Amino acid sequence: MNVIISTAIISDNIQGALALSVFDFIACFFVLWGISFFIRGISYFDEKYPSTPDGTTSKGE
Amino acid sequence: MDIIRMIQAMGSGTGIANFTPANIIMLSFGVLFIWFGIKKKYEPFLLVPLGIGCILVNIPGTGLDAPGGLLYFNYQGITHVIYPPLIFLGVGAMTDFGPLIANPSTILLGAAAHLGIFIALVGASILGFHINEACAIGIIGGADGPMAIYVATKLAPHLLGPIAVAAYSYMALLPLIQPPIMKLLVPLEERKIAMEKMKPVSRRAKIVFPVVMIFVVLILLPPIAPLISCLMLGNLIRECGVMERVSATIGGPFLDIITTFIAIAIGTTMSATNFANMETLKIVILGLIAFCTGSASGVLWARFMCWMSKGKINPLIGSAGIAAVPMAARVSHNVGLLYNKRNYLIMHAMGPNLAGVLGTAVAGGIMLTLLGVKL
Repeated sequence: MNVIISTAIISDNIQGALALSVFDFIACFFVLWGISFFIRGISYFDEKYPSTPDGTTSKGE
Repeated sequence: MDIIRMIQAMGSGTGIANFTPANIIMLSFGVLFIWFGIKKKYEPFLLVPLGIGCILVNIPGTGLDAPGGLLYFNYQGITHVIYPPLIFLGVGAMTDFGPLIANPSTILLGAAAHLGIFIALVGASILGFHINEACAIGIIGGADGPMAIYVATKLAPHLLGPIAVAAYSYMALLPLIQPPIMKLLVPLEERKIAMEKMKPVSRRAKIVFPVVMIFVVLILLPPIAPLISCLMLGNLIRECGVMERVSATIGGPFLDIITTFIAIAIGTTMSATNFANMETLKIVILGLIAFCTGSASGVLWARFMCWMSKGKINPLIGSAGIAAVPMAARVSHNVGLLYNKRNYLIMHAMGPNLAGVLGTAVAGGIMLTLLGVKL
């Protein structure tokens, strides 16, 4: 049996597909761009508080 | 007289009596997959079991894929979305996210290379597919097999077979699909660009990364929790440094076994009755368009980044923005080597390649959210 789950917001036509595509592509770009800032944040803190060989930070924490 | 009837009964009980032309066509596809896997060495881990699954299901009368049959039980791993998260667990355990952490700007290549998803989505809608089906077909362009299976299971379970076959077949055939596109779009001089050595990434940053990603991605997009949580769990097991044996097992033999099971299960969807129709042909063509346009858009975005960085980025790494890990990165590396024997692009290409995994997950998660899928 073919089960189609609810389509709440997007209409089932070419306009709906186009709108979903454009929104998803732009949103995907911004989400990944946002993730890149989290990654930069990790690198920033890692460089600011470098860890010593025994696993503690440079401030001895 | 009885002997003749016995011979007739034996004859009608064999597979030979029940073969149809469609069975023979599908069997030849199975043999072709095995040939590509063994002779051409195109991802044999995928193509050999895929071909075997295809052959097993197209020999009439075995009942292997009927309820209670061996292949039927194996297929439940896909139906109940068990295999895709397990594959992601293994991929996480064998993946070093260092290149992405070292060069986070390449994450945008993972987004750019997903244009193919949306071109295929609109194309599927034009060809008359329902919006849910069109989304499931479009995600083939992400070149992420487990994600394609996951989205198809949620949005269009009746199309799971052709979608999974298209996704995995094109992933395995990337060494054939991508190089002509790369050569067409990247000028010779840019193909030779040698990229600078990446800065080292500390073990602590590699440990923090999966934990932060679990928080960020799952809070933003809960529908993809099963896949991203397993990917990051696998990666944390790898990077934490205190679970070497588990990490080696999950990223090695465990991943190989699950890949074999999932490939056989996908092969079993290639029965003549499921496959010999126009719908499948449309999906296969749309999948190819998605792969080609995705690779092209990744390369073009990488050329833009090359221009922005004044020639520090080799545009060949752009095609790795589609998710197929690590095949797409390997293709970028191999094409780069053709033009500069001392140019090792593999680690640079792994950044966009891993971004592609996240990008496909994000694109799929947004689709599931907007289509109101209840998990």
